[in-house]
This record gives sequence, C-alpha cells and structure tokens, in this order.
Amino acid sequence: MGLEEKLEGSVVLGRISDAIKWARKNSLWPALFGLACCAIEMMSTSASKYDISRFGAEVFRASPRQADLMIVAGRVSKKMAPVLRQIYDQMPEPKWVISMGACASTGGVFNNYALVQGVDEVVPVDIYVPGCPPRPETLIDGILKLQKKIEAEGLVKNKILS
Amino acid sequence: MQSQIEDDGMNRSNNLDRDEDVIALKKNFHSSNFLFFEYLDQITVQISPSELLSVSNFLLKERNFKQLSFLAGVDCLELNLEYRFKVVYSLLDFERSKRIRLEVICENDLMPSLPSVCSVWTGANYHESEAFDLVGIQFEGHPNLERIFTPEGFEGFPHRKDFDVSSETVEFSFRPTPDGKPSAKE
Amino acid sequence: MSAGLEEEQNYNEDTLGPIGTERMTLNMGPQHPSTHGVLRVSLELEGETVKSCKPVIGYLHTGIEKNMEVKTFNKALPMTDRMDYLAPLSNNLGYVLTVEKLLGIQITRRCSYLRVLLVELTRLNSHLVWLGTHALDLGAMTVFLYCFREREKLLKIFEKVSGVRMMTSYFRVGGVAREPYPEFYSDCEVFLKDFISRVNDYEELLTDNPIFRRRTEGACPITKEKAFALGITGPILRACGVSYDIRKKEPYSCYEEFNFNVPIGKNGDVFDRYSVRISEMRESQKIATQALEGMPEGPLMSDAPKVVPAPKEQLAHDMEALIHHFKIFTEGYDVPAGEVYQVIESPRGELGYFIISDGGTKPYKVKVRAPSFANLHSLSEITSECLIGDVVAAIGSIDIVLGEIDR
Repeated sequence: MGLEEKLEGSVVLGRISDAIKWARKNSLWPALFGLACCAIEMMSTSASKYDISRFGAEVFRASPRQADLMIVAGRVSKKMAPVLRQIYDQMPEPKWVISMGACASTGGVFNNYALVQGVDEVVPVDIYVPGCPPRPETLIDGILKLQKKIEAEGLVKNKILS
Repeated sequence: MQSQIEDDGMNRSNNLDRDEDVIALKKNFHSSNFLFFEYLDQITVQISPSELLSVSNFLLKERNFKQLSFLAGVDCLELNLEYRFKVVYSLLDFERSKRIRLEVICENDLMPSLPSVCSVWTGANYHESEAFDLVGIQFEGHPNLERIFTPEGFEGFPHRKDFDVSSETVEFSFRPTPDGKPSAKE
Repeated sequence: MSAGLEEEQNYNEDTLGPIGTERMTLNMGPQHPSTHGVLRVSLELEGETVKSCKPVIGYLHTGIEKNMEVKTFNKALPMTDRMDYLAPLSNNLGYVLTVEKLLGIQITRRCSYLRVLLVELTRLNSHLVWLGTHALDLGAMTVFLYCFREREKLLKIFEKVSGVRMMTSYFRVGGVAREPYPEFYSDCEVFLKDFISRVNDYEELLTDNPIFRRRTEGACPITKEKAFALGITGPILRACGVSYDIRKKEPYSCYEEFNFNVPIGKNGDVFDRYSVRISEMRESQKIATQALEGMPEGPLMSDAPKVVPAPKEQLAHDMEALIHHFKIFTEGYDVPAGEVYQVIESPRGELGYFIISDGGTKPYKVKVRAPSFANLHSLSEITSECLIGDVVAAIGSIDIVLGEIDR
C-alpha cells in the first residue's frame, strides 16, 4: 500500500472494517458452477488472455465449502434448480452470487416449460452480467462492480431473509 | 405429402423398385402389408407394431443394418391423419453407407405402446426413454423406462402438440389511450 | 509389502472374523470439477473398482426442439447454436442443409467452400477445448492454457466474420448471413500456417509423456461390435478401427472435392481416441487450407428470391425484392411438406436433423440426433471393472457436451 511512503516507519492506521473488506473483495474465489455455453466463456476468462486471477479470483474451487463467490454460468433447468440451491446453502458466509448471461438472469432466449426464468427465483443475486454469452471483459467488469459493491456494503450482510 | 407408392405390384421405374432392401423386405414379408415411401432419395417403410421386432431382426441380421441412429416419437395431431402417434426409426449400414427409415404407427391414441427394440440394438435404451418422457409412448420390454429429461414429478408430456410451450404468458399489451399515451392493458 | 499385510489379515480374521465388503454408491456431480457440464454419474464401487456406472442426464434440458416448432425456419436457426455450444457452426450447417434439402434449392460453389472452411475451423475449436479439458482432468494444466490461447485467435476470426465470438448463427438457408470481411482470407491463412507447429507442441507435451501414457493406454477400451450396437459414431468409433467418416461416405457441401485422410485407431482405448482426434486436427488444417486456396469466384447466395433476402441496395428500386424481403422476415417462407433426415460429421460424431414440415412457415417437428447422446451409452460399458481414476479419463475421452445431450 502506498500509505507506507507517507508515514514514517511501517505502521498503517485504518479502520478494521476497511481492512476486512479489502481482503474480501480482492480474493473472491469462485465456486465451479458452469452449466452451459457461458461456462466456456468463463473458462476463457480464467485462461491466459483475460486472466481472472489478476483480480483475485485465483482458484476455482470445486468444493462450495471453500468458495465465496458463485458465478451461475448458463441456463438453469427446473431439474437443476434444487441442486443449485443446495450448493448455495453449502457455501459459508459471506457469499455473493453473480448471474452470468441472459439465461441465468432472465431465462434468455428460452421462454418455455423447462427453464427457470431467471436464477433470482432460486438464490439472491448481487450482480447480473448480460450477454449471450457475455464476453470475458463483461464478466471481468461484473467482478469489478462486485468488488465495489463489497466495499460499499456493511461487514455483516443483511441476508437474514434470503 | 410424400410420393406414396403402394405395394400393388405395378411396374414403376424409380429407385424404390430397384432398391435391394425393399426387394428383400417384400420377398421375406410377402404376406404383410407394408407401405414404401421415397422422398428426396430417402426410403421409409411403414409397418405395424406387431411386425416391428421381426422386421428389426431381419434388417439387422440379413441386411446388415447394424446401427440404430435415432428413434423419434411424433405427435401427428395437427396433420389430420387417421392416427395420432407414430415412431420413426433410422437405421444405418456402415458397409454400404446406406440408411433406411422405419415408421411404426401406434394403434392406441390414448395410451400408445410399442415393443422395445433394445433386444435388437442395445443403443435404443436412451432413445426410447426420451420418446417416453417427451411424447408419452410406452415401450414394452424396455429394461428401465423412466423419465430422463423432465424433473421428478413432472406431469404431462412436453413434446405433444397440446402441451403449451411457454412458461409465462406475456402480460402487457400496450395500446394508445384516447389522449395518445400508451397504457398497459391485459 | 506382502509379509506385513498377511500378518495384518491373519490378525483380523482370527480375532474379528472374516471382513465383509459391501458395495458403496458414490455420486459424482452434477456439479463437479471435470468441467464437462452437468452430468451426474452414479457409481457403485467395491473398493476402488467400479462395478456399475449409471449416467443421469436431464439437468440441462431446455426444450429447444419444442421451442423451434413455434418459430419460423429462419428464427429457429439461432436456437441450434446453443445445443452443441463448442461447435456452433456445425449445428448451423446441419440445420441449414436439412431445410435446403426440403426446399430443393442449390447452393453456390463459393458458399460451399466458405462453409467448409468455417466448419473445419470450428472442428479445430472444438477439439482444442476437448484437449484442454481432458488434459486438465488428467493433471496437465499447461496444455489447457495453450489450447485456450489458440482458441482466442479462432474466436477473434469468428467475431470479425459474424459479430459474435461463440454463438455465431452465421449460416443461413440459401447461403450465409453476409459477405466475410476483406481480411478474412489472410487472417485464416496466418492462423492455419502457424497451427501445425502448435499441434506439434501439444503432442510433445502429451504423447510421449509416461504419466499420460500410463493413464490412458489400455484404459477403458470398447470393441467394434459393441460400438455398432450402442449407436456410437465419430472419433470413438474410428478409434476402434472402423473407417467411417460421413464427410467421405455420405459427402455434403462439396466435401468430395477435398483431399484428406480419415485417421483410425487399433484398440479403442483412451489413448487411441486421443491420437485419432489429434490426427483429425491435422487433417482439418489440411482441408481448411485447401478450401482457402481453392476458393472459387462467383455469387455467394443462391438464386431463390422467396427464401434468400435481396441485398439492401436492391430494395430501393425493386418492388418485388422489397415485398419478398418483407415476407421473409415477417411471415417466413413456405417449405414444401415432407420429412427428411440429413447428417453431417460434427466433431463428436454423426449429427443429424430430422425435420418434418407440414407445408407451412414453421417446422412441424424437429428432432436432433445428437452424437453425444448416443456416445454416452458407452460410458457404462467402458467403465465396468476399471478404477475410479479411469472414470475421469473415460468421461474426458468420449467428449460429451451436455447441451446437445439434454437439448
């Protein structure tokens, strides 16, 4: 941090909530939840050209118990919805959800009997990323907006009613 | 619809009469009443459910159609035919690169049911489960006929013509009110 | 090893009685790290040996075929991209060829060559993703990053041609959506020239790698006869030694004019499937280079005014073109009644479209014969009596895409 140059010695003063939020937002580890086509763009985002680990998402954890961000990438069918909710419930607090793509946000091109019309019917969503599929830059923009959101909200999140 | 050529013994100079599989089928099942169609160089044979297993075994063993490419259940409700459900089978012979289609009309419109061809081609397993799940056709003799696509407890058969596609109806239709501004109206 | 273990066993049997074993059911998925989509595999294990393996599908069922029945033929085209999302242009080609067959319109030679070029680039795209994820499952992460690097170059070409990186919907009934941009041919040439050295890089990392060989050689084989009966097509069948490639045996879209080999394997195990696909990448590069060099001159779109919309400049002074343009985009065009089944060779095997038309502007029934749907049958067959680690290698080697299995 550049603050050290302004202070003498190696002591930095600040609020503890800022430090915690800084740690949280810069190390969001996504849980693997790639369902369909958007998952391939998510894999491209984590590959070397649009490297997502520059923004802190270093590892995609397979186990939800070790992750704090769930990127729902792809269309959620009615058979998959209970599984999605179960994985979300297994994640420890604090946790955030990014709904990636048109199908996850609203049902997308498919307005029919088989899909959940928007994943926010099942889990509470923080950021919606549009596109079919969204470009890797769009997903990275979504993650940066989530980081700003984490910085702005309180330490204990108001998620009692979710 | 298709160029329907019935097996009435008349001499027609086209692919159907010269095709080896058609000739072999006619010879071997001369007592049965098959209908042979040809459209765009693709041959379809229409048979009845009771003959399905014998024709399938004949085509596999004698005519070398070793692979079942797909089987599809079709709901012909809007085509104004005498029957409602039919199942189309597509077979492939690798050595001659030849394909042939079988069409089986289900006799019962309310509870369509056919014998399963899993004993002839083992790969028919998933295809028949799909036809059961989506169109509602039962297959007797299938090892484990169950719904594979739709969730548990789903009622109805989605790919039938009387099952509505959409999950939500569009709610608003904007019409201009007398003062020229649009308003939401159901 | 043997002395200590025997003692232990003797101790247990004498004091505690014989140890019974029972089968354990282990559930893999639908959310699991081998990123092949939402496939759930129910394994019955005795120790580490797999006794039975039952795949459970349906977690991505979207009702695409039903949705296509309520749209006109042109509007149903973008839905086909989303089935096999690793090779979207292949799906487009299958659909477009089927509708063109029903309509009876002829495609120009230049359009066929352009379609072949793009479909072969798509095949490279799909095989790169397969190679990256398969190697990642087996532990080789570098290959994943290299494959996605090549893929970015391909996606850039697709984006410049059609406007979208992945779901291109570039082919249309009667031709393609628009003329490719001027530098398209030179971009493809640059990519294809470099590509062989990249494939050599991947082979250097994997083919002679002792860990990779130990994990894949002899693992999960399947015989030719079982493959026929189960409905398996594509690289898996070719790895068993059957030389059946639809591009050679039932050619479409001018494939008979191209010169290429069909690689086959011997044993039908995981390593053979890997070698077949690597060789297919080289052959695809050959076909794409031939298509590029032999691209004929001439019109791109076919001559069918009721199906192919006229170019925009013509609409200003040709009344008939304007009326046809309006009808195509609002009502759609009527397709003569009939049913037809058209197959193409997608990167996974035989992709077929069975379309029934009742004479109207919307398809009456669309059935997609997805290659992965049939190839998945092989999973329970090839994983009997193998170890858990082999299951991961097997799933990777059969190269399934859940979008087209579940449709």
